[in-house]
Amino acid sequence: MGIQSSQRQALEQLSDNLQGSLGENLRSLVLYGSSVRNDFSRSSSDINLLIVLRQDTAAAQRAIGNEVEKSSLKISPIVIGGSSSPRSMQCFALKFADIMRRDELIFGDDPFSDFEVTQERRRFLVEQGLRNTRMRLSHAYVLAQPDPQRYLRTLRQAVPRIFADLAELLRLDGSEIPDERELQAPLLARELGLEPELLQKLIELRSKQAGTMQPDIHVLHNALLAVFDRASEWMVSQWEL
Amino acid sequence: MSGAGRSPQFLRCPSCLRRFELPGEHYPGLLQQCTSCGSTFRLHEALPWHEDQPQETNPASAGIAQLLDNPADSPDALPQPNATGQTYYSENVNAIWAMIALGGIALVAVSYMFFPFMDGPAFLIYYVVAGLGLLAGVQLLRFSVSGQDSFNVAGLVFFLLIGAARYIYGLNHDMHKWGYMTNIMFIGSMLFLVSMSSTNRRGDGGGRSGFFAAGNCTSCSSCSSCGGGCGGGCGGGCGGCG
Repeated sequence: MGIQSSQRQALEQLSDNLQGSLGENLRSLVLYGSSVRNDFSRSSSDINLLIVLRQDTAAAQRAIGNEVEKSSLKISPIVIGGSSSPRSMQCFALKFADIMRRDELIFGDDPFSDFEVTQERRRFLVEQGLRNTRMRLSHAYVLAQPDPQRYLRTLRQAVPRIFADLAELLRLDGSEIPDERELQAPLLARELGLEPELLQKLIELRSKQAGTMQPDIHVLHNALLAVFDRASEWMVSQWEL
Repeated sequence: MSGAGRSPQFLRCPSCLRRFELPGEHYPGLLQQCTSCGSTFRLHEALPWHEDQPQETNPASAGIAQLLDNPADSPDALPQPNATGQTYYSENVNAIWAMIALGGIALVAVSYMFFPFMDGPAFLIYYVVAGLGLLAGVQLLRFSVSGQDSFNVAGLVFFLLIGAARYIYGLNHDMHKWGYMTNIMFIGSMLFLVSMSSTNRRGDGGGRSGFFAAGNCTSCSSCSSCGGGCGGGCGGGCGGCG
């Protein structure tokens, strides 16, 4: 499900307000994420907005913050700008490639018109992303013994990254992978030999309000480590660092 | 501190990039409001302006640095930021603090001199008026000079000193009812502290959390977008939050 017409109107209002507040500093506004895919949830999804500035200053960020606060929408902004933007986009190339694959330009120039990522960089970033997520989850698990909710909060935040990196892993292998997580789950399970139930549980964890699910974190973490180890084995066998 | 007699110099609004003229009387913490976009910012946040201004430059080369390159604007005109890049300390600020100290001490001394002419109720009215005056002065300084909490602390100290002076005077003159004054001191202190908190939250560029606001990364909401979105780089940066 995409965003509703009332949210679309609020988004247009926000776009107008940002143009007023930022003037010529505003280069582009790009909508991305679940709001342009078909897995937007009105109760739990943020509206992801990429805001490209000519000068990324604290004052401009305050102006954005004020407009976001005034808006009735739950906006999750990423702000980039200045002469270092292309470099930032290369450093987070997978993120921006993911945005570019399914986005909607709502104001200004296309920030991705010159954006290209080498295969080597993609591989490196996928591997870095998966290993980073594994370390972050392990860190949370070690510290979560008295507080399982802590681990679940970290995992909930990591779900989009896990799906994005696993999907990118298969795309680098030449597979066609859809953008919606519901559609990705069976493909990832089949191609990487994972448990479909585990991926489905991750989607539910992400979509539901924190605290409504009480899975056994020990079982969950054990299964997730197996996922990362399987992905690691695959990368080690296919790629050289 | 004055730019009188010089040709006009220009900077750019750090929010909408529109050009504006450097005010004659200026210092880095001076609050500016852009006439184009309406955003407020401190002068040290302004961007440099050149006629052949490239659209995208590094904001780190801020307007203050541009003016310091100009020998006509020696460092005493626009002091450089210290290592943190947050607190600007200039002769102007020193002068303001000297005036605050002298004014505060004078207020306490004059109050003490007038104590013999004030009975209890008259003093209480005077104390409330003096406290409100100090509070207004603190807010004026925060708005026109910088949003430093130390202005609130200074105002609070002088407010309490008046009360303490009255107490000492009262002990020497057989006064024994201190309930109302203690209540005024308590309520006044809270007002100074709350105004510190509320002005910090107003988005005046300080970015601090205020006296009563928690500054810890408890829910780590800022990490959620990074962890979910930016992969390795952000993930590493947010690791401390767990």
